[in-house]
Amino acid sequence: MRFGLGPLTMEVAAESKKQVDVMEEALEQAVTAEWWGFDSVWAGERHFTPDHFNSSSSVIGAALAQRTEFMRVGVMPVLGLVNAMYVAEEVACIDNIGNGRTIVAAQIPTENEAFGWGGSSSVDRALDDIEVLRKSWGPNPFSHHSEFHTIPMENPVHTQALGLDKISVQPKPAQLEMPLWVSGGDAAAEVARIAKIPYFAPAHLALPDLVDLYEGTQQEGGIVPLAREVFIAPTTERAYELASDAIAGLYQRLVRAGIAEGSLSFDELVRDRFIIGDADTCIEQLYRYERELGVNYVVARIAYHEMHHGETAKAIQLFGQAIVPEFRMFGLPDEIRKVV
Amino acid sequence: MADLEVGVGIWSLQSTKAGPRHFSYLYKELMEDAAFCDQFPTIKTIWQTEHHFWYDGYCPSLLTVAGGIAAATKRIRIGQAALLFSQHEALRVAQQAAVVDQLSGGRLDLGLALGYRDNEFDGFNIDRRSRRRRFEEGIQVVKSAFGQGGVDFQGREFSVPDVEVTPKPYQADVPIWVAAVGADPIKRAAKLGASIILSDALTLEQMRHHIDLYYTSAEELGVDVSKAKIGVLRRGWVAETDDEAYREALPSLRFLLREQLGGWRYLVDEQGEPVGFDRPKELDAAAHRLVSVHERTIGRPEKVVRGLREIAATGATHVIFGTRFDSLPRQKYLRSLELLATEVIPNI
Repeated sequence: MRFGLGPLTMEVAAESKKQVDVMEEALEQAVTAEWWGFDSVWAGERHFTPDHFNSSSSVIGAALAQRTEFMRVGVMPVLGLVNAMYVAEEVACIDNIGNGRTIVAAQIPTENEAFGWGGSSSVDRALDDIEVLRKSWGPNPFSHHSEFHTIPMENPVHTQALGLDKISVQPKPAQLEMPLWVSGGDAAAEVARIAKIPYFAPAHLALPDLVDLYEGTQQEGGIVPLAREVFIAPTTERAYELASDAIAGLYQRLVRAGIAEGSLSFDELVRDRFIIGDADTCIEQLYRYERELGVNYVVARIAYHEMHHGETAKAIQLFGQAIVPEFRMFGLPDEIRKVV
Repeated sequence: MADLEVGVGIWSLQSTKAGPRHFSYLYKELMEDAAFCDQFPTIKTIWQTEHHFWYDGYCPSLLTVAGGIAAATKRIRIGQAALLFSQHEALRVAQQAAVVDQLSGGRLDLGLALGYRDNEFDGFNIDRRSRRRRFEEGIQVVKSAFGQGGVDFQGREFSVPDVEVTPKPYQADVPIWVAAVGADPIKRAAKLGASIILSDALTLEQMRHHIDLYYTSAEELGVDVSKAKIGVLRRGWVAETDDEAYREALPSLRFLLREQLGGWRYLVDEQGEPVGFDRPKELDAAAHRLVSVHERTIGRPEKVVRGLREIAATGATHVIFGTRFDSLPRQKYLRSLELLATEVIPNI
């Protein structure tokens, strides 16, 4: 199993912390995660949220690609809102900053995002955007005429471009084939099935619902990614003490943004969504997702912006030392496992 | 004489026919250059430039790349000279600009231009004839998005319902610069009260004339431009001696003006008409005229100081010192920047 940090939300989580500092701390947390062996770090993206969640995974993705050296950088552009070539160009730039380390997990717009942009949350629109992304990143000049895109337009006034019926998005990404996942609820799972790309469930969805969502999305030998709220400390009691307010706070902000549902108690949320505890508890929970969904790539939030930066760094280290080896080091002898 | 700020640029990240590079090398070099400039408090701003669908990979996504620059630097301001605003969705520009400004702790200078190449508009399915309206409506969308409350804008080009763009920028008033290459755009910039970026194709006399026009237009329109900056792009290079500077920079400058800019109908003949490859003689003459203009900021530090003082005397308050030429040896390039920062700017 592989592990990522995030998705980093970067919202204003406490009055005492300015957003510029939240962002800088998040970049430092990415570097910490890289040091402790995480495979990736993820920049979240949501638009028009009352608590000021990051609205550009492209800008933050570029910053993460610049600060880190080896780990992959996950970006989560919301599709269905603008011409997909803007997204294609931005991702190609990020991929060149990181020398080929980008993963894209496209998101389906929320109701409010689609409203604000006059966009579409439909499966058809997401599939069309994905086709444009792939053509844009591919080696050949292309044209694309669909219900949602006209690339390129033909305009008799544009004399310089007369006769050019194709375009080439430049620059190309550094890597040969851009990893592309899709994140969200029912529509995202449907897109994953049709486009045959990995479905990446967001952290706020509960395990019983995930069984149906993942159904038919897993490809033989392919990546099966999942995002979860995760916090780890030396004891389960300490993990709750440090993180429960921060995770509950984030969840309330997700509810305010129209992303998560808000009627559940914290205990109910923990049961099938959050992974909070000591190493053994976290390992046991992760095995549960592996067993029931076939998950083999977990993006663990760990970074909650109302928490003290130092506590987050310690949790990232502990996760890297106590959890990652359990799932990555096949054949790890028990004697060594017990050392940490 | 007004104080003259100096920024450097303009980073285009092209892998050209004469100087092909892996794009990752170019982007890595930009981040290293940015960190290098960041050490010198005399260099105020690092400037980027944009085009789309161009064969040499000219950078298309300035605010995204600005995120990387922000992460690589602590002090230097980050500007666009310029983002081709009419080819973008204004609301997306506003969102990304706000995030860059937060991430950088308020270091964004948002530089906007109309854009002019047909096939860039075609690619995004935008009629080029709408570019002025898109620009003007787009500025309103951006300003509204940066303010408190919802946007709620109904125009012919953009329609945004009552949604609030978050995060907001770090700066209470993000500086907006408008690239102005002729009389109309200068008047437009004056109307908006925006700072301006004048083209590198101007003589000192033309520059003075454009700056006068900007202030006269603002006065006629009753717009307060007392805080606006007057920027100008000027190619330049600093070495220990004039001879070294000429040998290092002039061939690249000639190539840039003739092949890189000339072919795009960016240069003008003596009548002010655009020239392209279809009129090679006039193109050569136009490039030659410009080389002699820019030569005044190419040389040993004392000479470049004089060249910049001449520019300051026109009323310009910010020079974008354009040191990015194709295929230059890196050590000499960094040396030129260092001389600019330590021997030129402090002595202007």
